[in-house]
Amino acid sequence: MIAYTTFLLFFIGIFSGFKLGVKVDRILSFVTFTSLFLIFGSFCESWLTGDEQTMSFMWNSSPGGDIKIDIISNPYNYGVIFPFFMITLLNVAHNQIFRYEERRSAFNSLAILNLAALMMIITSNNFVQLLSMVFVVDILALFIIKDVNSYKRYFLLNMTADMMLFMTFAVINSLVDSLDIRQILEYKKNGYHTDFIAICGLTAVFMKLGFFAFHIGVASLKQIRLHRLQHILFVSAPVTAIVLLLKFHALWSDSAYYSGYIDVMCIATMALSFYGCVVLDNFKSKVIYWQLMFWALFVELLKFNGFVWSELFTSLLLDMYLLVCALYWLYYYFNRRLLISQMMRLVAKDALRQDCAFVLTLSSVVLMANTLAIMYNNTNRYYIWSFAVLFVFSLALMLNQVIFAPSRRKDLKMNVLPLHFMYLVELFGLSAVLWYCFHSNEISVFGVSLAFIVFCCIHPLQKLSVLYRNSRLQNLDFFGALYRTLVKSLRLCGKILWLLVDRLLMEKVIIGIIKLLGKGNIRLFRTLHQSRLGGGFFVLILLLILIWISYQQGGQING
Amino acid sequence: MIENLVYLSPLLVLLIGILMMLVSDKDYINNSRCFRIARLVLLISFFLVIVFYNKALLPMITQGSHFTLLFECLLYLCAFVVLYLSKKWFMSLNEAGNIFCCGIFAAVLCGCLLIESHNLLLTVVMCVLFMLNNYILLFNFRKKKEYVLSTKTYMTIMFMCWALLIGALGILYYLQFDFSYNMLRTDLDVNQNNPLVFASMAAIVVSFVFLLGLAPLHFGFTEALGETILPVISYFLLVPVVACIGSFIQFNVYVLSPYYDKLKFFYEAVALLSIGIGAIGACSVQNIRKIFAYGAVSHLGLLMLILYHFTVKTVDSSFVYLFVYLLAMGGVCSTLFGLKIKGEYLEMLHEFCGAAYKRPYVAAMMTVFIFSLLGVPPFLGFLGTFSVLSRLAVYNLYELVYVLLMMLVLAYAYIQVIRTFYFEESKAVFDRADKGIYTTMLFNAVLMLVIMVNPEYLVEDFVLMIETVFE
Amino acid sequence: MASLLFVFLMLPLLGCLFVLFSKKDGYNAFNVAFFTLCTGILAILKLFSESRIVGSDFLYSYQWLKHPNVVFTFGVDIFSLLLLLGVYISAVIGLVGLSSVQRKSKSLLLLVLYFIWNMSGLLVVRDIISFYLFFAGMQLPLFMLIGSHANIKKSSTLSLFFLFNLVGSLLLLISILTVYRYNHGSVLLSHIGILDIPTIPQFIVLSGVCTAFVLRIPIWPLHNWISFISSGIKNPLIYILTNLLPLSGLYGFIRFGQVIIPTELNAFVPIIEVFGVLTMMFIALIGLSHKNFLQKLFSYSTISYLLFLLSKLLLDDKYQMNMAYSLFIFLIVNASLAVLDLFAENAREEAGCDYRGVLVYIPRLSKLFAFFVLMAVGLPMSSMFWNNFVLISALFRESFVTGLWVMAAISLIGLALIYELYIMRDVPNNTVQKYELSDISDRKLIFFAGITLVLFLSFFNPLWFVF
Repeated sequence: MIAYTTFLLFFIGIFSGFKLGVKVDRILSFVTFTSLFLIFGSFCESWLTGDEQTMSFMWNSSPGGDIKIDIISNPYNYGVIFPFFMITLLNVAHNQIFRYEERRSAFNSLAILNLAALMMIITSNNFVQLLSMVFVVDILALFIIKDVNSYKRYFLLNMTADMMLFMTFAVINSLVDSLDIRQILEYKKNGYHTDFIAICGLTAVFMKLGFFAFHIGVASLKQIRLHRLQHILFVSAPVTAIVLLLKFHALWSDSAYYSGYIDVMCIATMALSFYGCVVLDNFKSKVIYWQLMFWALFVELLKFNGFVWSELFTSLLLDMYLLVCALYWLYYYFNRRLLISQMMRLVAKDALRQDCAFVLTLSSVVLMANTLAIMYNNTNRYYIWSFAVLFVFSLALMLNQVIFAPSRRKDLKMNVLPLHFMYLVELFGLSAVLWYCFHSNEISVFGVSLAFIVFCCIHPLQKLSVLYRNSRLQNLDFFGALYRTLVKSLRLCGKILWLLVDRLLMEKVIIGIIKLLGKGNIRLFRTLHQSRLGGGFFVLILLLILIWISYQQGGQING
Repeated sequence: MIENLVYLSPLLVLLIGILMMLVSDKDYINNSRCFRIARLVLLISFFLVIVFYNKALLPMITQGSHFTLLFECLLYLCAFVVLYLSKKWFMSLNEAGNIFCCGIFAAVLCGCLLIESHNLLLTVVMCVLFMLNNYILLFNFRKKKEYVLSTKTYMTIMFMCWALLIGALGILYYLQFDFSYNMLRTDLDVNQNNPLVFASMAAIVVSFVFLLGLAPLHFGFTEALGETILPVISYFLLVPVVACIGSFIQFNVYVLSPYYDKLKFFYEAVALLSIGIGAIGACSVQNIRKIFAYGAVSHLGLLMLILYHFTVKTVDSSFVYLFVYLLAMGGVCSTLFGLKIKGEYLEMLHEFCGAAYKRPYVAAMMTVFIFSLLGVPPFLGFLGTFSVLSRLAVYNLYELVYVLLMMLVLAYAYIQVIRTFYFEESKAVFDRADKGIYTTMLFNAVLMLVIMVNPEYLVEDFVLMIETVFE
Repeated sequence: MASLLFVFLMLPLLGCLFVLFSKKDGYNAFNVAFFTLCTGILAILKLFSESRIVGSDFLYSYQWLKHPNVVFTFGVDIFSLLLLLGVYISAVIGLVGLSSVQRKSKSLLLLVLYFIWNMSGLLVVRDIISFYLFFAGMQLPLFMLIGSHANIKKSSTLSLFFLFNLVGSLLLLISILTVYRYNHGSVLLSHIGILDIPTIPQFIVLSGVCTAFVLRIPIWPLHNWISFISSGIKNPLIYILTNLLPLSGLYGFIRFGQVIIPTELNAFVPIIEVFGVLTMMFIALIGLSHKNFLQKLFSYSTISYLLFLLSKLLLDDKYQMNMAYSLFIFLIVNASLAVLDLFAENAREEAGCDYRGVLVYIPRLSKLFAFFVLMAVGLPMSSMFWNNFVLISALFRESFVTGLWVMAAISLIGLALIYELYIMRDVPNNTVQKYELSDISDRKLIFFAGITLVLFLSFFNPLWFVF
């Protein structure tokens, strides 16, 4: 039962977050991993037994609306949760085996809590529950990113996306008068502002995915550790975005702009990602852009599948995850050099490890190609081909540059790193997959693999590395500058308003006029009182006038 | 005859007090003894007034009632407070206080007769004497001898009022009117449309306006107060107000009711003018005494705005306001007595800078009294303001808006005082205030607190006494 | 219940008395103030459980005057109790934020207690005259506090502050007196809508009431007084109390509007709505342009008050409890952020450290600060999150355009706060010098941890503390 799993995960997550000594921390981390593994086993078991239960209880009640917590267990939800559970488990396993973290259990805790929150998002039927957990995922992402400089843009963009989601849900709730997500069909019947809802919601989703124009948030994560980056890219905000698409596509698809908007954004993101993957020198940036390219394809595939989750999507996700793991191997192999240009200058010492890295990457590519080939007939082929070409080319280009570089490398030696058990397992696994795929009937898989190998070996492609030396291209931050200008103009607007309204209108004009009136009165008063004779005469006249009017008025009243 | 003399004893005691003060030798009667005697005389007179409250002092021309008793009590109380506070001033500057005490006795005497008066001649004579007494006090206690202009102004207006009063009496005598209130009213009833009679009545009203310091005859009052000593200011802000209001109510209720319609506009105009001029005037000056003098004009204007209807309810309301005003203004005077630097009593606003840091309790009490004058809740002033404004709301909403606007202007002036006390820093060393000052302030504050918690004493019991004027 | 209510109301005054007679240069006055407020909180909690038994119809009356007939009526319901609790906890947070020198100031503590008394009174009264008494009464202590203890040098600002408030009070007085004119005596707040008043006086009453409350909240273009004042206050407690003042205006709208809105107030609603929305955007943009957390916080609090005002004016009474829950959290979060920011500011000034990255050197404070900022922005850490969601979606139902503007303003100010948090946690890469700043003490850490717990638990049940 998913509810049971979720609460167990919350419990383990919190338990794992305790700050303990280094030795105890290792034990705790191992215990956490083991527990997670067992829970995963139990989760799979429940899925296979076809568990269908609903856990629902009243969280809060107010005259403005009741809020329920729903955790619905059904095969569909199990299917959606499975890849993220798997990825989290693998991340925790990596963390357990490699020395990524000073405090392993802290990272484990964040990963597990994140998973629990994702499970609640996937199973939710209530706007408040959904939104709360989306926020929770974003906050946990903050802790996972850890680095202040890196999370600035990412968090600000995600917060903006959350605000937009908040607004979208508020508008939906305003019409259906219910916090139940299942009621959105009511909105479809009587809905108004459908375009607004769709554009606003989709923009929030794209922001979370880091699509074109909103990529600067994800792109700024290039400073953080690769395993944390991997976690953010696979099981954080983008997943919430995908779940939102799964839940709300039925509502948003009413808008005329829905399909066009998704297509435009996906194509633009693919193009942008290709540019990033080819031009940028930073290895992590490349990983980020590959991931973006992948998400663009993923969204398109989902769209053509009517936003219905299937095992193929699970498979695709896991393929991509394994590919990034393979790239991590490469990164690890190059002694964590960040820049490709630096990697190019390193002399390879260990041919075995180098080959392993290549085989790992190749296997992942083949695996992904195989999954795509299965999906090929039921979807838009142009997207798949575009993705395949761009992805394979950019990936092969990098391998070409760092592994198959000619012997003109300078004599910079790299440390020999141990061949870890985990990677050995992955290596064998993927090799087996590779073997399987080459024996499958899909000719396209073979073609893609061949293209990949060919691209890896073409010598002239090396020349593209000249782009890495172009500092203008490397530091180009068009959208960052655009956002900065936007914020600056808003600030300027605020300052101008403050000057115009607070200072000029209120302080100088209105309060000034009142002060001037007061001063004028006082001056008149003083003039009257300083000139004793004139003042006295005035008073006398005034007195007589008053008495006269008084007499006259009284007479009239009497009369 | 003896019985009449006995009834007259409060006045006789005051007269004896006056004579004693006039003939006293400064070397023999020092200030401390002088003021002690003065207070004793005042207490004895007060006691006798209470004992013979329902007996006429001069049976033919005066009448005693609960109403008169109440106002006389207030008059004595104010005079006592002024004497008590002034003693500190005279002693600290080592100046002879016998003339001042004499002036206070004379004012109380005139005030009592004014309040009890049921004869126009007596009223006019007492008005004249009151004005003269005020002038003597102003002239005698000018702060600097070169300050003559303001006293001259006062004198000019006083002479004008005298002329008006004499003229009024002459007209009435010419028209063969009886001067006793009862007969006079009958005569006025008959001659309602006679402009000469109206003029003579207006002349008497103008004199009251002058005595109260209301606009447009405020010149002598406010300007002169800025140039005189603190005891005289305290006297002017408290004593004449009680006497004149008491007498004014009686005069209007007993005599002027036939001319009510004709005088209504005048009263209204005077009240509104006073409220405005008082508020603006308070903003225009930097002398703290003038600020409160102008403030008093504004407050008395507000009182007049309600009082002039002369119904039971308006008189009740205005009495509540008067009482609250007296307490608050008395408090303000006592705090002014409590603040001095190197023996010098302060005058200009900037001299009070940082007073709150050196004399926090005095400054705090000043704040309480100022906010009370402004009618800000939960101070007692709110009771007075609410009592008056609730009545005004019944009569005229536009006037209510005007009054509140002017209150805002006046508040600005008062805020300057508080700002100077609290928010401005100064290294001036303020002298330690006398215990008597603290006692007065504490007594005042306790009285305000008690009345605020249970206003029934003021609003129910006192008002019952006030209403006897309509019986 | 009546005696408990009476004791609760008198507590701050009793505290004032003790503070007045406490030793001059010690912490006695502070201890008295702290104890008084804590006792007040306990009394409120007791009142919660009592009011559950007695119900919200309970009223306690005291005849103050017979002529004119003035009867003070008091009563509490869950709504006012929540606000009371919010006010008291905010004040306690403010007390904790005082420096050791400030804690010795008797006048400060006396005025604070006096202000709290007025605020408490305002939140429990049920008739118009006593409402006015407390409404007008609270401006004096605040004026004195700001003038004497807030280091505001520009004196004209102070005068402006007082006069703006006095104008509000006088307008309310005009309205009350007009009501009095037609109904000689005290009128219950809940009966205002059913009074038989002719059209023009009714207009006077309503415009007076609306302007008086609007002046307090404050809506553009009448917002100057509070923005001038708030931007200069360096004392956390006074900052908190100043930001409680708009609560009186909001509460006025809530209480007065209960009956009026459906008919007479309708004419004013669009005007206030337009100006409210304009002010929200205006303040949000100004908040974005300021380079100081406290000013951003002020913008945030004004926008929040305006959100509640619009919710009150546009929505049904059924959303009142959502407002109360949200307001309760808002008051506490606002107070906590003000105090924590001033802690950071003081530590920064002591060490001569830059504003940027200041929180890096004070890790405990940094964590608390981040928690409260995220809570203020509306993240699901307290009941404010879902209550605001309910309110905003209801606003969308009433007016889509208003809802959009409200969301835009809230998002802008939320992002501004987060950006400021980032600035305070970001050490420039080229910084070499490390500073040693004094972090908050264990006691304060425990205190604020307790506050966070109170808020966090409210996420699960807004009234978890009621038994």
